[in-house]
Amino acid sequence: MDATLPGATPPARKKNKLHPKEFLLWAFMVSVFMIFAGLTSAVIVRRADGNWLEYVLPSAFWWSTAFVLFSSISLQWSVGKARRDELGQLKMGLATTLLLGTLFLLSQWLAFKQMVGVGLYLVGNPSSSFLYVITGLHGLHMLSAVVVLFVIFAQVFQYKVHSKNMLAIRLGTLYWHFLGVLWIYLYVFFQLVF
Amino acid sequence: MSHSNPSASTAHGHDHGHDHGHHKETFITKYIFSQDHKMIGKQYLLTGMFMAVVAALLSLLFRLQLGWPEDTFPWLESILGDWAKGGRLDPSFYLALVTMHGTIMVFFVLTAGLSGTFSNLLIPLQIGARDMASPFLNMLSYWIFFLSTVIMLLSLFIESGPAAAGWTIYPPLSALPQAMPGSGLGMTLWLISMTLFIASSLMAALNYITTILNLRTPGMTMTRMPLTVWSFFTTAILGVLSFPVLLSAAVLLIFDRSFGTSFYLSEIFIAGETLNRTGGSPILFQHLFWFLGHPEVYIVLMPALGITSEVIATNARKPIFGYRAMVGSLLGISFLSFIVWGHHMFVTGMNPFLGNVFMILTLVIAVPSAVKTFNYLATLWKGNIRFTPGMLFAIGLVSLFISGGLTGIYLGNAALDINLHDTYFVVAHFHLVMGSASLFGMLAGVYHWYPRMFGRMMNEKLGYLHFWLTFAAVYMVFFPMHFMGIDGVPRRYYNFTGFEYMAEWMDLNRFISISAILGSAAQLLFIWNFFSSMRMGKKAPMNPWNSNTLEWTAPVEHLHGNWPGEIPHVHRWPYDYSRPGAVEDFIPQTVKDDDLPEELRKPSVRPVPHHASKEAVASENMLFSRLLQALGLRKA
Amino acid sequence: MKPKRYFFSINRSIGLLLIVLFVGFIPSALNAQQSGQELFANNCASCHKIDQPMVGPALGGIDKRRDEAWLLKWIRNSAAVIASGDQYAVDLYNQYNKTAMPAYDWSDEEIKSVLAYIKEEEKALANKPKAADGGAGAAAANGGGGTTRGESALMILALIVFGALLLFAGRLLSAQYRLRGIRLFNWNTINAGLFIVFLVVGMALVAVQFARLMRHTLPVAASEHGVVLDQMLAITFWITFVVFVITHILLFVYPWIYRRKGSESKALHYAHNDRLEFAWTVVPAIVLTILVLYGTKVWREITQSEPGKDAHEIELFAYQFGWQARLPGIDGVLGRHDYRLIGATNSMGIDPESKEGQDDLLVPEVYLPVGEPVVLRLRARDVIHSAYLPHFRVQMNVVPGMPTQFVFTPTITTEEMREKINNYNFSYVLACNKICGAAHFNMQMKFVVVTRKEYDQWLAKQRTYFKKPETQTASILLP
Repeated sequence: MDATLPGATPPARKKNKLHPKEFLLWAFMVSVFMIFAGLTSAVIVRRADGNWLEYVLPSAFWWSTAFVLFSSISLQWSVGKARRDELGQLKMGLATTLLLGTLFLLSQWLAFKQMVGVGLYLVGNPSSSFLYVITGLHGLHMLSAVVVLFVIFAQVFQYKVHSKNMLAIRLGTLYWHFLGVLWIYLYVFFQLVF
Repeated sequence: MSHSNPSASTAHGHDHGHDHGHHKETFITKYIFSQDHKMIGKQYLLTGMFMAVVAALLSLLFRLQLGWPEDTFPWLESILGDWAKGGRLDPSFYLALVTMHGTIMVFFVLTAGLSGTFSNLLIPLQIGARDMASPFLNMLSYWIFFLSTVIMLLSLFIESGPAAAGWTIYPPLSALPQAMPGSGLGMTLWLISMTLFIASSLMAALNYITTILNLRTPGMTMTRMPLTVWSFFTTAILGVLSFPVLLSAAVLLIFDRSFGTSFYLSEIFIAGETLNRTGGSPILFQHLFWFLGHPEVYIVLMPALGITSEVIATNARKPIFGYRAMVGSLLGISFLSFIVWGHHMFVTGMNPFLGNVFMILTLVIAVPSAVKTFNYLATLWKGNIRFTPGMLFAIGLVSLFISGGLTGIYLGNAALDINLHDTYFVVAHFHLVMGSASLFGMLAGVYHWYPRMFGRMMNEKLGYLHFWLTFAAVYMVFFPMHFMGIDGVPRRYYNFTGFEYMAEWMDLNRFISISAILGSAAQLLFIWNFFSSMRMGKKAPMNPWNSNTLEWTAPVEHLHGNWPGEIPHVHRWPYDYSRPGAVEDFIPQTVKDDDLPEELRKPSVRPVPHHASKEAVASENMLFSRLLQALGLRKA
Repeated sequence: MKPKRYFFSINRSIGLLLIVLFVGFIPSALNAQQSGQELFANNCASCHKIDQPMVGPALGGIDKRRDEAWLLKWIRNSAAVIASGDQYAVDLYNQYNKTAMPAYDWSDEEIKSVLAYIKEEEKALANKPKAADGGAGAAAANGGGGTTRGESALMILALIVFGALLLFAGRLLSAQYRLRGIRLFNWNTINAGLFIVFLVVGMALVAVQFARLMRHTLPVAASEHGVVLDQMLAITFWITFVVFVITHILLFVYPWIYRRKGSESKALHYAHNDRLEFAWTVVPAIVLTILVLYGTKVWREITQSEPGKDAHEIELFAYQFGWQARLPGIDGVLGRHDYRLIGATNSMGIDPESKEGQDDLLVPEVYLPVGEPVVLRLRARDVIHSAYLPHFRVQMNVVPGMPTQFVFTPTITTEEMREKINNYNFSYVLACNKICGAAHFNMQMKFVVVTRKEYDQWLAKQRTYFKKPETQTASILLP
């Protein structure tokens, strides 16, 4: 089995079904997860120390969850279309996903405004500070995923995404799903501790 | 599944690598924004060496203060201005010096400079790959590291001074600009630089792991990888899991500093005013920091240990003793390093039960370290030792690892730590076991792989001299510090004249400072040797050390793609040195079984005189295989 | 009807008044005697010298630079002076890296006595014979062996130049031989031999260090748990030292024995030995387990000892850059504190409304009665500090917002210790052991261990934290 010249992506090896770039993405997702693991551990430790404000989470978070779930569905659907070279539907699917992703970000912003309205600020009790920082960080990653998806969307118009060239859209989808799952983990976590 | 890169258009249908007629390499793409792992390795090395010089100079400044606390040096004032009013270091600046010395050495020299150099240089070459899994990401990781270096150096020159709260930057000291001048802009720049550094390290580590798991040439199973690659592998895994947590600690610190939050701050009255911050815990920062901090010291140490294994085996002409135990101990140390961080926090007032837990786990981690030491000794035993400068430094590393590691046993004991914490005992411990040992690993690596990097040989005699002077200097500087620590002399003290029980160490401080100056001067030998040999060194043969590993099968002149023609396939492990019955005292990994007489074909699982039953041999191999399968490192 | 007899008859009243005045006079006389020198040493010395700048400016000549009224205001509350816009103050603050000087709630007499002390010291320093080229002070104190800075520099330079010359000469020489095809030295053998030399010289130097430096380390532990710790340290030392010596002998002798001796020497291809590996995994594991169990036992004892009801409670308050100590007074309870109450006149933030706080004592030095348990309650004002009392083997971080404590029992009085180590200037001392800013190296407070009787005497003379309007005394301690 030969590896190819640098720059080109080597063929997947028999024993490891994972394309190297896909593996790279998995490892990257592990490190992103570790950031949030560190932050959520900090929440747990701090909460145990007392003086911890608990409150009802802003309703906009429900919308966030809905948006992110549906966006994963629409994206997965789009991947199927790409595999069947149905570019028109692919474009629609991606556009929908992008829309839902943007709505997710907007709903996060709305949630922040709701919190401010209730008097929960970034500055003040650590429990609200943590909520802002953690969701903010997740939102930043989500923004990066939207950008990535946008680039892929543009590539569809350049005929660079099709059944013979699925790597980019698969990676983008993987990253998107990961952030969705991460959001669910965070949301459940928030319910338990705030 | 299609494999081509969607954005680029490389359509190389065949694999014969030859120096590209395909894309012309300009000066910029060959030397500056290179995507070739060998060039990137050299970039990391040069930057790391530069930062080492900077950090050494910083240390000489504060050793000047410690060695001659009552004296004034007018020339200091002309260089440092207000930071050395009247020719004596300002006490705040002293703290800035020790902080920047620590930060630069731990991160920029011994993490990036060590891992960055050798992982980049050796991983593709030793596993038989053309380059890293993502050469672009690799290049990006270097330049982001470079940017982070620039910002960190910039912080040395700002008016309020660089960060000065120790390389461990505990809040509230690091969170409040009014606590010390360095906690203003200097600390902000530090955080920006470190954020970039973390990003760079993550990119690099991800690349290393992916490359090692995906791009090994046929025949290069995980258990045929040289120990260098194993060590870079475990180091990268540690990095991926621990650096993000430092990032989260830093993010929360940034919020406390700039956005008024109280993650780490609570009930503070400072600079004449009561702060409106409640609910935070400074100890939280310490937990998050040391969750990285402890694996970090193994990130610094493990590549050096890997390099030592390789250099000692090659120069003793013997297999590294206990290869499987060496791999096992790397894995064990890696795993355990995540659960011992609390031993840095024994005296913070944390729950004593936690103290017990961390104490037990810390002493457990001493076991794999001991195993490694004994394996090194056994490798030397009955060897046929050739003393290259690299070998000298590798042996020196083992000595420093023993000396520094043993004092870890004192500090890991929470009760003993009560009187030793934050004293010179700790300073002696980590400088021996981490600072000097890793530095020796880096130097051993440079001497050993210089022919691979630059196609020339370094001057041996200068190398010998460099080693003996440095080795002596390191012990002269750090061994006496143990006694100061036992006497209860705290670290990060500007001078000792305020306390009578500390003042008796002033003579020794002078001795230590003089040794440090001489030791630093000795490094000039290395710097001269390094740069002059690039042009004036003897041209290197392809395999100057008669080593078994793959990197020596690639031509001396750098090829983009490493090997002209096909990548060699591997048929054996890398430690077939001095096999009885073999023509030479080494059998490179590429040698096929067909080319060997019968008795040399089977791998030597048992030492030669010992005739074990085939079944016992087979069953033992099974156990190890099963372990690797369980870890997903070998297919079932 | 008999005339009513009041308890406070005229005679009795006059008598009591006399007693009060007399007793009250002594401590205030004593307090006034907390001389300028003591005040300076306990409060100013951490950041100021007379003759040169340190954390703060040199104080020599301060009376010529600023008038007394300004100085009184400044010392009492420097932050206020800066805030008021006083240009000199603002410039000074900026010049010294915006390091804030703490506020001192002292009386006019106290401040004047400090200023007087500074003036005296300035004069004394001016009259001192010029010390030879700096560094002689410390050198003289350490016996004639101290070299001056100039000599050290010359020595270093000479060594480097000499080394370079040797190198150069060596290259010239060997080049001649190389040209003729003669190999001068067998470097392999030389390097191998150097390992033996290094081993011998190294071990000798280690022995020398132990011989000369151990006597400078801490004397016998002055606390109950400290003795146990020192024992554990000794045992750990012997185990690790034996390992250190044996492994180093092997490490440095093997290179000599197994050096390549010529083209015929061969290595033994020996890749592993399960029994041996098992042994050297299990043996260290066992030894370490024993050490760990020992350690956990001692740790448990130290950290989980509950202070008994009769333990002496002392609150240590750490701030940039000094310590304040507070005792609970007769009621045995420390008054409530709140960091929001900290200010120029209430440096520790004790609640003036708190009943228990009224009798709390503020002490400039901490006295401890020998043999009786002590619990240190630790609190920080601004950043993390650490209370380090090495002679007692005591250390505990002092964290703002998170009170910590340490329980121990002192066992050797200051007098006894002075005899033991033959040093009549010795004092127990509290140091800060967590980096906390510019004057981290000079935050100290004296600790004195005395007999119970001396302790009671000392206690009776201490003043309360809250200044009483009539006298500066502690309330009279009734037995």
